[in-house]
Amino acid sequence: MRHVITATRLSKIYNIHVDRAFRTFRDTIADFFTNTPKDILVQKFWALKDVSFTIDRGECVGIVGRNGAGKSTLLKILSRVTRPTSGQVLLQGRVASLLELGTGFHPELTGRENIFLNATILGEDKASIRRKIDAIIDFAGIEEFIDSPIKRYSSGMQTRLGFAIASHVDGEILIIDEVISTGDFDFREKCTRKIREISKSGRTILLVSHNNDSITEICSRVLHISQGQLVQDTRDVPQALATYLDTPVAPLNKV
Amino acid sequence: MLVTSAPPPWHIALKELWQARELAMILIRRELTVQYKQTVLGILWFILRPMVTVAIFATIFRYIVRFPAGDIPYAVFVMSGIVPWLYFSDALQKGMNCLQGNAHIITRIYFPRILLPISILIAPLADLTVGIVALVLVMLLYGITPPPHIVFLPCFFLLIYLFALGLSLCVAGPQAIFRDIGILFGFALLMWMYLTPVIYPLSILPPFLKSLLIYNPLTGIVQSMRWAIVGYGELPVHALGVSVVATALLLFVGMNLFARLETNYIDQV
Repeated sequence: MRHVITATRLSKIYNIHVDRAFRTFRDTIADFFTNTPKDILVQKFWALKDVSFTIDRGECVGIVGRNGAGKSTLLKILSRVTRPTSGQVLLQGRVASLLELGTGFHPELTGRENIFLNATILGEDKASIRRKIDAIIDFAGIEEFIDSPIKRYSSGMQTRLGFAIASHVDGEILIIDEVISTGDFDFREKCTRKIREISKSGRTILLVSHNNDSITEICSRVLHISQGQLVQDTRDVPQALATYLDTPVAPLNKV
Repeated sequence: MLVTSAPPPWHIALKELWQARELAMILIRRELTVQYKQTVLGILWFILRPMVTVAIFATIFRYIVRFPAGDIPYAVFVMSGIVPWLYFSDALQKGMNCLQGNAHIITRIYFPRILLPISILIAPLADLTVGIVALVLVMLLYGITPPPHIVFLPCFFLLIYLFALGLSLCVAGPQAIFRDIGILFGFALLMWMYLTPVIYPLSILPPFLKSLLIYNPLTGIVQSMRWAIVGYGELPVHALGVSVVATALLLFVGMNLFARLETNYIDQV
């Protein structure tokens, strides 16, 4: 199999509750008895609509799009955090993902304990974590803090540790959401080098970033998403980024 | 690996669960270590918590309401009910909140989420064990030795664990979406304890109430544990049957409900 990711007509609908921050049990009961029509209370929109693509082994793909275009939703489905409303994805191999900040650390546990927790979730076994832990700590540059609870870490330190773990596990597919742009200059350099190295080793990388320089530097292909739809899929990275910059901010794609 | 709108079929889900067994160990250890972090007494709380609770109940019910407990001291009777009850209420509260309490992890990284309640409910079995050891020590102090059928105790550990798990699976999804359920369950637990022969023996109840309480699945579990540890009464075959059937039913319903609701919840966070 050459394709490691085959996405077929992926769609995801999200609800926005119009007049309430969130729904309570009382609301459900009240709405049931007052017979309020559902479509007044709940506005639905397409976070993703009919997105299809394939990605080959070893490709390094950048995903661009405005805030709310559906990039993170796509990565969430690919990393299996949420399921699509319709359509399907066929994944060949293990996925290691690093979504948003914080990366699912437990605040009370130490950095070291969190490395074990996180890397195990990403599918690594104990022996191989033991082998890699020094490299991870070293990459994150947090030797002094490694035995303090994560809640004492700065957000930069958490991001660095998160990236260090995700980039050191053996997943065939690495998914990174908007992480590189948050670190300082040195760390960004380090990340870029690491991603290139991973890419050279034949693993597949999906990267969301608002930093076009990182995309140009790292990626050989760009998927441009707007209003939940795939508007461009090309290997001509500079041209794709240029079109993306020209695209105006789009409203939600309502159902 | 095929990702679609439906939860994965059960044989794939089981395979995934088996592959994640190391993660289960880490989650159990996490529960145990996090529980008493930043406390001065630390691990001592494992012993102190059940002891203090039992001491409070034993005192209240010894001096204020006195229940006849047959030929065993009331303190032993009450402790043999409170210790399993504490496990149940602890486990249920943790299990019920397993999605909400781990929202920061499950919205960012994937693993079979059913592993959360499965491992979270194993950790307080440590407290249960410590509580039972303490109970046996108290019994020896009163000159009572555990009966030979204490060897059946692990079966009842498994039963109370599975019952709490089944109920947690049913409640965790709805609770994560409607927080009201957690509050309602707080009251329910309070009532439930008094509807279970924890602090009083079934024999003091009028016959109709007694035959009703047998249909409370916890009656069978608590009575059986008391029978196994203290040797009090007979093995409550009828009530135990109710517990086993209820557990199987809750597990079946719970697993389906949980699989359906976990992603709904993640989309609503």
